[in-house]
Formats: sequence, C-alpha cells, structure tokens
Amino acid sequence: MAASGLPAGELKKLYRLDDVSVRFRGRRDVGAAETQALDRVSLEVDHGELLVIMGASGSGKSTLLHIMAGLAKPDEGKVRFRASQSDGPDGRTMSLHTMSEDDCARMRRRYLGFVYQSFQLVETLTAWENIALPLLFGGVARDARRPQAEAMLDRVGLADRAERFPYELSGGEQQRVAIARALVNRPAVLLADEPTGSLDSASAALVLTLIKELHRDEKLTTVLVTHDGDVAKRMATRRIIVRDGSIVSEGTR
Amino acid sequence: MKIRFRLRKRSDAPPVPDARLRLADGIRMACGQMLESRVFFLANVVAISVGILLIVVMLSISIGLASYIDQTLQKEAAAELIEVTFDPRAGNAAPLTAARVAAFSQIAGVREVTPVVTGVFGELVRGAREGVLVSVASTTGARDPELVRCDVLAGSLAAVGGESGLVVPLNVASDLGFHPPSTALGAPLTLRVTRGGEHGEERVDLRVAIVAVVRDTRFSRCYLPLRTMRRLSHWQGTPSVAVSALRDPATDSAAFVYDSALVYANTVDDVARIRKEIERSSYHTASILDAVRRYRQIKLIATVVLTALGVIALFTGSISIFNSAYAAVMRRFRELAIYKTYGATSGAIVGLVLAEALMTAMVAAVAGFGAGALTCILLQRAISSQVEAVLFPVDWRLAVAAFVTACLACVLASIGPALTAARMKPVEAMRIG
Repeated sequence: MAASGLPAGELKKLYRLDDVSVRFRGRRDVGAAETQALDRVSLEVDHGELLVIMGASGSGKSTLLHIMAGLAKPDEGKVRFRASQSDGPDGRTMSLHTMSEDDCARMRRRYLGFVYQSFQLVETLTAWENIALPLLFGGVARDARRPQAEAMLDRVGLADRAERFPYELSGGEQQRVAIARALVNRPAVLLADEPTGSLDSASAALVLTLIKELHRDEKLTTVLVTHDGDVAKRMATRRIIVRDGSIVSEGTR
Repeated sequence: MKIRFRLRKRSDAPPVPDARLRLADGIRMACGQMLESRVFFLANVVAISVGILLIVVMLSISIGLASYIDQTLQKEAAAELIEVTFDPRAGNAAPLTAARVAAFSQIAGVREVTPVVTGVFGELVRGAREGVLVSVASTTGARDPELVRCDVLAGSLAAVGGESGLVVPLNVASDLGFHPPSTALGAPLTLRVTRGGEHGEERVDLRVAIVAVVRDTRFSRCYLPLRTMRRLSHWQGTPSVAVSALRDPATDSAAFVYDSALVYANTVDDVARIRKEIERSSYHTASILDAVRRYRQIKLIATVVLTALGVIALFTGSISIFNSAYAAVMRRFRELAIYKTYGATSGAIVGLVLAEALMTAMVAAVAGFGAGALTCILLQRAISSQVEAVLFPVDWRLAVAAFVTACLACVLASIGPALTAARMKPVEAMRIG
C-alpha cells in the first residue's frame, strides 16, 4: 500500500498522460508528409476540475481530447485513467494506450461523456432515443431507458422535445441534446470538443452556462476544448494552450 | 437474450460490467434501418427469393423423383421380374419354344418362368356399339405378376381361367361404356381378330367375357388365358391354318414360338446374374431396374441443373446483398461512429449489420418458399393428367432448406461489410462523414 492509501501503481489523478505522441501519416500517392499532431505531451487532470484546452486550428487540441476519450491511440506514451478517488471497484487505473477498442468503448459508455462540435446526433432517432444511446449499448431495457433520457432532457431544459427528430431542433437545442446524451450514464468526466463552435452567440451562451452549472453543482470533471479565449477565461479552473502538438502554456485563471 | 460477438481477446479489461445490446433492440434498429432503405431491401429480397424459389423447386422434384423411384423399386422388387424377349430379326438366339422357356427355370436363383404371347390386335365389340381397338397379351392367371401388380377395381384375378376370361384395363372398360367398372363383369363381348389370307382378309369372332377390371396395365393391354392366346396368335400369323384350329388342342404344339418370357428371381440380388446368364444365349432381357436407373439419371440431371441455377441466382443475390450492405455501411459510417463513441463494441456493430441481413433473409425465405411452393403445386397440376405420381411434393423439408439457404447466403454476404463497420475508427469516420 502506498503512502496515499492507494494500492501501489494506482493513479491519484483522474487522467495522467506521459509523453504522448501522435503522428498522422500522409498519403504516399499524393506525396503528403507525415504530421506530428501531438509531440510528447504530458498532462494530469484532477478530479473535479474544469480544464480548458486552447489552441488554434490544427494545433492538436482535438487529437488530445480523442486520446483522452480512447477514440484514438497514441503512437508513443501512456494514457492512464482512474474514474474514482475511492478505492472501490471503479477506482482501478486503466491504461487506455494498451486497451482494446472494445474495452475503450466500454470505458466510454460507463465513465465518459463526449460532446462533439457538430452535435453528431443520429438523424433517424428522436431526441430521447439519441440521449439513450449509451444506455442502449449498455443493455438497459427500453422501458428503463426512456425515463432516464427524459430526466436528462429536463435537466438541459428540453423536456418538451423528447419526440423531436434532430432536424426539428435548432442548433442550440441539438447541442443540449448532445450534452444530455453525454451525461445520461452519469460519467466521471465530460469531454467537450468545441461545443459552441457551430452555434450562434445566444445558443453558445446557453450551452456554456449549462456546462458551468454541471461543473459547479455536480462537481463534474470537465475537459473543454476551445479556441475562444473569453470562454477559457470565464469557465476554466485551469487552462492549457496547445501549439504545434505541444503544451506551451499552463495556468489557472 | 442479448447479442454477443467477441472479435478479439481483451487486452486490459476495465472494471466495467460487460453489458450488451439487447436482441430486441438490435432487431428494432435493424427493422428501422430496413424501412429507411426500403428500395435496397426490396431489391435484395427479390434477388434472394429467386434463388430460393429455384432451390425449392429443385429440392421438390428431387424428393418427388426419389420417392417415386423408391416406390416403384419396392413394388417391382417384390416381383424381381426379368423380361426375356426373342427377336427373330436380330441376334442368334434360338426361338422361344416351350423347351427353351423351361430351360430358364433351371438357372440358379430362378423361382418361376412364364411364357408370354403378345402382338395380337383386335377389336372388342359390345352389342351394337362401335368396337374398341385393343392389344391383347397372354396371362397365366391369378399368379401372373403382370396382373398381380395391377390394382383390381372389379372382379377377381382368381376367375382368370378357362378359355375366354378377359382382363381389361379401366380405360378399355370405360370405352366400352361400362360405368362403374363392376357392370363389365360377365358381360358378353366379341373379340374380332383379322388376318390377311390367300383369299383376302379373313376374320374370326371370339366370344369372351370380362372377369376382372384393373386400374392400369402395361401398354393398356387386355389379357386372355395363355392357351387361347397361343391358338389366336398361331391362327393370325399362319394363313394356312383354318379357323377351326382355334378350337383344336393340337395347336398347343411344342414348336410354338413365344414372343417373350417372364422370369422371376428369388431375390432382387439374383436379377443381374440371371440376366447375364440368359443374355449369354443371345436373348434380350429387360428389367424394371433399367427404368429405375433411367429415373435416377433424370433425377441427377434435374438436380444438378436446378441446383446450378439456384446457386447462380443465390450468388447474384448475395452479391446484391454484399453491395447494398457495403453501401449501407459506407452511408452510415458517421452513424456507426456515433454508436462506437457512445459505447457500441465491435460485436454490437457486427450484430446490427448481421441482424439486418437476417431480416432480409427471413423475408426472402418466406417469399422464395411461397413462390417455390406455388410453382411446385402448379407443376404438379400440369403433369397430373400424364403422371399419377407426386413428382413435386411440398413439405417441411423445403421450408427448412429455404430458411437455411437464405440465412446462409445473407449472413455470408454481410460478414465482409459487418467487419468493415466493426473495424472502423470513430474519429476517422467522423472526418469522412
């Protein structure tokens, strides 16, 4: 047993990334060169913090988020995740860099909420069915899925939109449905990739307020990617700036 | 029940309950997807149904022919019959005299030998009605296997005897106006036989009486007792013989040449050896086994041709399914990536694609089996006037074959697209989408 009270080798933080590198291979037929998306990035994320990752387009901030979500694998380095501060069964450390894709999918379903910039709702499913997707793949019965999805719709202020299809919702409403989907499995962390990038300013303010409230009221660890400095200033408990695949600046607000 | 596929070994399993997509949800999603792309779905169903239809018809005729052959073989195996024929224009065989026929009974494995007279044609006349042309052959009576194999509709084969007892098939009785067949029994008839003589055409009228009506006989022949037939044949074939010879016992000479002989073996296994021995004396022999062999050849050819057609149809149907499943996967790349982002494992994705394929298979199997069964029924109706046997039966085996074949074709055609979908990387798929 370590001095912290955790078994030896268990992670104290929520995330720990050690020397993570990601390279995108260019197409040989068009002579495209290899791109270094992330270059030996090391980062820790504490339980309960709201980390904002900033950077210009192509800086590698979204790739960093994908690596943290297990949606992509690093070419080098380690990505470790520990969902809970307690020593219970959820407190085991997971090594995302060695886990299989299916194990990463299971991990996402149980511990992660992910929000895309462009909502990524399934057009053929209604709002509540979109929200219930993580529950569907978790084997939760339809009768049990619906009340949970409706509770999340209520939480994001769209209780009356349960039966609407994505094309019947505004951009802001779609993004709130996407946030509800990310939260329906009560995740340990919310990863949001430029959640306001496709929204007008009024809708963006609503979505950011929602994320801020979730962090404040439910102590939900949040990692937010944005290129908007104002957002970072208003939201973050800590912020980092990524440039050319490296963290060039780190600090609290 | 839950859908579960494991594509690869876990590397570093997290402490997450291994919950899986429910079967009911998988089916619901598959149905939704099929409705979404109903044109592709219908095209696939039609393509697979055609293959299933051909497979069903092929299997039906295969079962029908096999059953017909087995029944015929079983029926004939009881008689273990060999027909020996003598053709004076070909071969070097000695004429089939009573002595030669008797010699056949000395061959090992022979149970009984019956000489046969055929080739007498005449006209059966009932009162003032128009006569009916008939071919008449000889019979030895109630134990004659030619008649034993026939279904007796009226009268009794035990009554065949004397000199004028006639056995007729149902169609001859009908042509003579006997309805029902029992009304023919004992009815006085005249058998009118003619020959070309030295003084022009000569005719003899023979009084006969029907003693039995049977369902069907070989070549629709009528039968008269051997002795009567021997005299009739002798008179018809020899212009110098007087009509009075028809009542002369001296006609039963040892020199009379029979048209053929029926040889009965003890067992069906003896047939080939007995035939070989008889053929060594240059006689021609025939057996029902020859017909069985021909039926088997027809069955084999029909099975091969229809199976080939069915396989070709299924193959093209499978290509259609592969194409549309692949197109559907490509079209839904972004949707499948969303599923993966929110916890769908490779197994769940494979399960979803295969569930759609199985749905297509089920509908195609029902449609293909229905169309195939209908085709079989129509074909059976079309041949029922010619063939009494059921050559296109429709039973549970056809349904099982239809479902198994459709499922196999659809699943095999969808495995490739399903694996492509399962291996897809969500981030790359989002970028493409």
